[in-house]
Amino acid sequence: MTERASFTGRARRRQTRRGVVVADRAARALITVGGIGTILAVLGVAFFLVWVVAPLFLPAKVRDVEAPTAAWADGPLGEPLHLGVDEYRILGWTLTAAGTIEVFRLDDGSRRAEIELFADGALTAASFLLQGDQAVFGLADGSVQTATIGFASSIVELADLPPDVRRRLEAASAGAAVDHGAGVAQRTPTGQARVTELAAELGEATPVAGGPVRRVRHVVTTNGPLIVALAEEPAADGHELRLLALVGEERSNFLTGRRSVVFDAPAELPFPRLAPGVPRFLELTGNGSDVLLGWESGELARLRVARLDDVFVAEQGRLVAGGTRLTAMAFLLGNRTLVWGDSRGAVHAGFLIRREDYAAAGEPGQRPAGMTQDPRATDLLVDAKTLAPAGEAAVTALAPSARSRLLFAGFADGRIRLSNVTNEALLAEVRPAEGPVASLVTAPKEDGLLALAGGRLVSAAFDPGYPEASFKALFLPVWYEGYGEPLHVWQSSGGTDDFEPKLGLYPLIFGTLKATVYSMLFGAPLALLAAVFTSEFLHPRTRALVKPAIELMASLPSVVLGFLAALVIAPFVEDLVPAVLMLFFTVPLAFLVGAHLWQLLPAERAIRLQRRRFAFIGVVAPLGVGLAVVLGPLVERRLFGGDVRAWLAWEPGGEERFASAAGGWLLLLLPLAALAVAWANGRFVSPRLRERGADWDRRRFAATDAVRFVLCLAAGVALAAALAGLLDALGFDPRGGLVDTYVQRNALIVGFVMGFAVIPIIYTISEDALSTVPEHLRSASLGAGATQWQTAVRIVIPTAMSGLFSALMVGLGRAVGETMIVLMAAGNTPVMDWNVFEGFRTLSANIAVEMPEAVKGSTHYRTLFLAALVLFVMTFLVNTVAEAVRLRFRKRAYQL
Amino acid sequence: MRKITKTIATALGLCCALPPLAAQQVAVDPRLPVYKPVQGVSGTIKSVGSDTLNNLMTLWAEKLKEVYPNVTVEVEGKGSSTAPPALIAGTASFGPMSRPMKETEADEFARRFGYPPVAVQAAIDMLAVYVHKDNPIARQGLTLPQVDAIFSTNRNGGYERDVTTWGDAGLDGPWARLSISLYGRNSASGTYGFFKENALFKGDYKDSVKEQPGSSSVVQGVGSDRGGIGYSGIGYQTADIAAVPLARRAGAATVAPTPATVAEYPLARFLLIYLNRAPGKELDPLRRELLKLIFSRAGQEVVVKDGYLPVSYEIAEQSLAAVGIAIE
Repeated sequence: MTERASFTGRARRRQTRRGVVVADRAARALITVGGIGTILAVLGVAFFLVWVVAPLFLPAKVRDVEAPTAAWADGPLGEPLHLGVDEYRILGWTLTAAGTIEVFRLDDGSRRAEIELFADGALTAASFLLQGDQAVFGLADGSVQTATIGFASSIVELADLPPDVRRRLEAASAGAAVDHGAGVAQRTPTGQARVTELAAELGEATPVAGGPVRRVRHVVTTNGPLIVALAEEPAADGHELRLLALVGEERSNFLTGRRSVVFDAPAELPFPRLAPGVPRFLELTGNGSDVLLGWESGELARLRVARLDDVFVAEQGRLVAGGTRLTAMAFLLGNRTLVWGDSRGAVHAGFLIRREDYAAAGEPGQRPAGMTQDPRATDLLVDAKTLAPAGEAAVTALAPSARSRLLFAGFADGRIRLSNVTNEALLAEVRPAEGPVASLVTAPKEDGLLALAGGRLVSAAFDPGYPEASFKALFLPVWYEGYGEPLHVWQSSGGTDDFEPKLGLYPLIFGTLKATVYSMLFGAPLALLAAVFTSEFLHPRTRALVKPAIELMASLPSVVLGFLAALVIAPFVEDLVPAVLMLFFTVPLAFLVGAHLWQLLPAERAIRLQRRRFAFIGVVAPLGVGLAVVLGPLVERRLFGGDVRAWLAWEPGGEERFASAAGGWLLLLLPLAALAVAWANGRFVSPRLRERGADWDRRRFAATDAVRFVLCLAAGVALAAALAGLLDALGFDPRGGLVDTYVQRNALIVGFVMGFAVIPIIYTISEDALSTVPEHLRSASLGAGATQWQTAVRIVIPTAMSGLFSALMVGLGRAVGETMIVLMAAGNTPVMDWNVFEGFRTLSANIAVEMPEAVKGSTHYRTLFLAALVLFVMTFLVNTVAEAVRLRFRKRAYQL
Repeated sequence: MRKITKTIATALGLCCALPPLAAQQVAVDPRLPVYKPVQGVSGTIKSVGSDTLNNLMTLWAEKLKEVYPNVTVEVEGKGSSTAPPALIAGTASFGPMSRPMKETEADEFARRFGYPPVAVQAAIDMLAVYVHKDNPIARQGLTLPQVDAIFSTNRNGGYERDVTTWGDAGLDGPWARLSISLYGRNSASGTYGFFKENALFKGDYKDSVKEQPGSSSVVQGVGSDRGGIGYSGIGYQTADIAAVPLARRAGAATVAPTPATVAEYPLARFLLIYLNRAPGKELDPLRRELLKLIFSRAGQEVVVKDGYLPVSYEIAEQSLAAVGIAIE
C-alpha cells in the first residue's frame, strides 16, 4: 500500500474498519433470519390451517364388522318389530312380533334378559322415536298404549355391587362389560361401576277402534305428542279401515317442574283408499301437520291434518315409477325429510316445500311423477335427492341416525350403504351378509350399527368422519329441507339436535367482497385525492398540520369505530336517509361552485387571499351539508313519493305512488351523467373556449367559465333525467339490484366507517409516495409553463404510481380482513345481494362470532378454520397480484 | 382486577335495578331456606355460558363474595353454546345455559368424562318479543304463527303469507308501510335456539335477521329502530322497548309476559346451570355453597331483582338433589 498524503495531512485508511464489517455481517444475518423467519411464520400459519381443515375431507370408516353367535339368534327370529342398541354399544334389544323384548350382549350375543310385554298375539303395531324412549303400541283389542322403553345407566360404587360381580369387574380391564342383573356392569375411569339395564314401563291404554290396530305412529311436536293409528273396525262385510288421531297437549308446570300431557278424544281422519289392503307405511311430519300413508304397491297419500276440523288429502298418487314397489320408507331426524326405497334399489329423499316457493324458483326439481295435488294444498312434496341409483337388489331397510342427517340403507343382496342425505354423499358401503338386510338400526351416538342380515345379527363400528362438510356442501348450492330450491345458505347451528347444519361458505365470501368493495368505493377516492391535494397544492405549513391529523385517525381502535357506527351513526342516518343521500351530490357541487366563485375574484385579491384558500374550502363544505339537509326532504317528496324508505321497500303490487323508478335512476345516473358531460366539455367546449378567450381579461374569462359550468350542470341533470325517464318507461327498476329495502345496519354505514380505518393508511402511504417524487421533475414542468394541476396529473402521479398502487392494496388488505367494524355495524346477515342498504356477514366477523361456541375438533370448528383458510388465500392472491402490478409500475417510473 | 369486576358488577346491578317487572309483585317462595354461611370457602368461580344468565351469575357470585371475601369470580356470557366446550375443556366450573344441552353436546362431555353433565333449574324466564316502545303492536299482540312468519323463511307455523311490513302484521295508518327490521341473537345463544324451536317451529331464521352478540345489543337495536322487532329474556326489558303479548295459535287469547301468566305464556322456560359432577361424588365446597346460595331466599330475591321469576321450593329441592345436596 502506497502512502499518499491527502490535503488534510491525514493518511486515509484504505481498509474497511473491522467494526463496520462486523456490523455489516450482523445486519445481513439478522435481515436474512428475519426475512426467512417471516416467510416460515406465514407458511406455518397456512400449514396449521390446512392441518386443521384437512380431516374434513377424509372418508368415513366402517370397521369391526362382526356377527355375534347368539344361541337364540340361531332360531327363526322372524322380522322383529324393532331393534335397539344402547349408547355404549354393549347391549342390544329387539322387540319380537310376539310382544317379547329380548336383551342381549352385542359382543358375544348372550341373552341378558327377556321381558314379556304382551301376551302372544296381543301386539299388532309399534312406533318408536329416533330420540327419546317414548314408544306407542297398537294392540289387537283396538287400543293404543304408550310406553317408555330404553336403556338406563346408573353409576354405583364398586362396594355396592354383589361380591362376584365386583370381583370379576376388578379383574376385567376398564370398560369391559361384566354380566350383572338383567344387564351389564362396566368399570368407569373414575373407579366406579356403570350399570346398564333395559327399563320398560307400560303407560295407559286408550281404546280407539273395535278391531286390531294395524299401524301406529307418533311424534312429539312443540305443543305435545300426536299419535295416529290405522285400525280395523268390524263391519257387516268383514271389516273396514279407520284412521284416527290422538292429539295431546303438553303443559309444563313451573311450580313443580313436571310436564303433563292431556290427550283429546280420538279424532277420525278420512282414510283415502288408494290401493287395496293395509298401507305398509304410516309416517307423521315433525310438526304434526301431515300424515303420510304409503302402500307397498307404490301409492302415497298425504293428509293435511294441521287443522283437525279441516282435514283433506293434499297429495296422492304414485311415489315410485310404475312397475316398482315401495319397499322402505322413513323420516330422518326431525321428521322433515322423507326417505324412501323401491324394489329396484333406488333410494330417494324429499320434503315438503311451499308451492309458491317452488313456483318462484321456476319449478327446479323433479316432482314424483305420478302425484296430483288438491287445489287447497299450500305445499308439495319434492323428490330432491337421489341417494342410491336404481340397481338390481331391492331396498329392504332404512335406518336414519339419531344425531344427524346420516342414513343407512340395507338392500336385499346384503349390502349396507351409509350416506349423508344433505349433500347426497355416499360415505361407505359394506356387505356383511349374503342374505337380505331385514332390519337395521344406528347406535344412538352414531358410532355403530346393528343389522339383521341374512338371518343373522351383525354389528359394526363406524366413524362417519365429517359427513356434513363436503366440497359440494361448502361451495355449491345445496337443497336444504324446506327450501324452494338448491341455495347457498350459512346457518351453522341451531339449538336442537334435529337441526340440519347449513355450511355454505359462499354467502360469507360474498359478504367479505361486498364489505371490501363498498369501503374501497368510499375510502379510496377520498384518500387518494386528499393525498394529491396535500402534497401538491397545500402550503407546507398547513400540510404539517393536516397529515398527522389524518394519521391520528388510524389510531382509533376499530372496536370504537364499530361501536360508533352501530350505536350512533346507523340510527342517525336512518332518520335522515334522504339528506344523507343528497350529501353525495351537494358537497362536491358546493366545492365546484366555490371554485368558480374564487375565479370571479379580482386577480389582486385572489393572490392576497391565496394562503387562506384552505380556510375557504372549510367554509364551503358545511354549506354543502346544509344544502343537503334542505334539499333532502324536497327530493324525497318530488322523486320518492314522500318516503324514500317506503319507496325502497316497494314491491310490485304495492302503493301506486312508490311505483315509479325514475327517482332512483335519476340519483344513480347523476354521477355517470356528470362524468359524460365533463368528458364532452373537456373534449369539445374547453379547447374552443381557450382559443377564443386567449386575449380576454381574467374577469371576462371567469364569468364565461361560470356560465359554462351552470350550463354543464343543467346538461348533466337533464341527461340523467332523460335517461332515468327512458329506463323507467322501459320497465327497468334499480330496486332489487344496487338498491333495495333499507336496513338500519347496512353496507353504506360500514363503507362510511370502514373509510375511517382505510383512509389514513391509503392516505399516508400515497402522500409519502407523492412527496418522494424528485423536485426537479416538478420544477421542470412548472418552468415549462404547466399549471400546478397539469404538473400533478401528468408528471407527479404517473411517477408515483407504484406507491399509490401499494397504498391502495394495503388499504384493500385492511378492508378484507377487518373484523370489529363489520361485526358491530353490518348486522351479520348472510344475505347475498349488492343492495347498498342491506347488511352482510364477512368471513372474519363470522369466525369471531362463532368460534367460542364451536367444540374443538367438531365439523363446525374445522369449517370455521376453513373460512380462515379461504380468507388467507384471498388476501394472498390480492397481495400477489398487487405486487406484480406494482413492480410493473415501478419499472416504468425508473425509466423516467 | 377484583376492583374492576366489582365496579362492573355494581354498574350492572344499577342498570338492572331500574327497569324490569314490578319487582314487588313477585314474592320469593317463603319455604326456601335462609342461606347459612359455613367455614373455609375460597377459590375461583369461573362461569362461561349464557348471556341471558350473565347478570344473574354475576349478582349471585357477588353475593357469595360478600359472605366469603376470599372468593374470586370470573363470569363470561357469550352464549349458551359456549358453555359445553368450556365445561368439557375444564375452563369453567359453571355452565349457565338458557336452553337444554343438545344430545351431541352431552355426548362430547360424556366422551371426555364418562358421565353426563348435571343441570339445575335456577330461575324462570319468559322469552319476550320486543318492539319499539311506540309500536301499537305491543297493545294488539301477535300469534306465534305470525311471529314465525316475521322471523322465519320456512313458516313452519303455517301462516299463509310472508310478513315483511308492519301492515302485513295487522297494523294500519303510517305503521302499515314501515318495513319490519329484524334483530336476533347469534347462533351461540341458547335464546336463539329456544326461539327457533318454540317460536319458529324449528324453521330457519331469515337471512335478514341482524345477529347481535348479546341480549343488550338486541334490546338497544330494537329501542333505536322504529320498525324493529327482536327477542330476549324478560330481564333485559328497558323503557325504550315494549314486550308484545303472544297467543299460542290464531284465535287463542294473547298473553303478556307478566309474573302472573307464567303458566299460559307460550315462551316461558327454565334457565339452567350445568355442572361437571361425577355421580355419587360430593361437590367441592365452593360450588356447593354457590348452589345453596342460589336456591336460598336471598339468591332467589336476586332473581326477582334482575327481572326474572324465582323458582319454587319443589324446583329448588329437585335441583339441589340432582347435585347431591339436601335442602334444609
